[in-house]
Amino acid sequence: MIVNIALVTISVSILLVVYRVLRGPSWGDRIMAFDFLTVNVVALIVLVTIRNRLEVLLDAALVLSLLGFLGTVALTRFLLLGRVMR
Amino acid sequence: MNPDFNAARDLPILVGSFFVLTAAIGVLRFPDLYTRLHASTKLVTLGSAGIFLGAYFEFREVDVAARIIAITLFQLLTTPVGAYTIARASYLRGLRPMLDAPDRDEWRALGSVVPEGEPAQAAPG
Repeated sequence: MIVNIALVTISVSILLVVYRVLRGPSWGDRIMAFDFLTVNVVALIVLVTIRNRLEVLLDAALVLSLLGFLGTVALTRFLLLGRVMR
Repeated sequence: MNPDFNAARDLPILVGSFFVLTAAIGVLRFPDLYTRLHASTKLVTLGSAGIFLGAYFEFREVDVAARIIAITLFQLLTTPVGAYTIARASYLRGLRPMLDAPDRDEWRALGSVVPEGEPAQAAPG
């Protein structure tokens, strides 16, 4: 089944990007790789939705993509300004 | 032919996961933060959009379609914004591109690139 192949592919890409999160020479690399990781986990949740026919998981994917963007913006603000909010 | 195979569902999923893997290899192998941002942003929007399209063709229902359109639109909107903020923060903290060409650097030509009232701290790393 193609969905299983896609699950393995996304898992391999998550493993490759975890190396960049741990290693990343600068903090910008780590934030970028973490953003990429969030998008990959959203894609993984959608694939699990297809595989097990669990439509409720799509809500989790929606919330996770929202939180991933908020986390990216908060981390970059902290990187640039030293604080997240005033 | 395999009865499990559904071309409308499986081809976008296959193409999308291939693009996501390509983007991961690009994030791992490119030499510079800005080139890595290029790889992760552009390919991930295409790849995950393919996977979401395949998820729609699996279910073909209205509520699933609404959620998938919401996720896709949200990612298409937020991924460039996130990449822009990461690149801006890294540049303002002094991370130069690997190919440093000052005559093509429009922000440096403007003089002070640090926003008003915000300290330019020298960044370790």
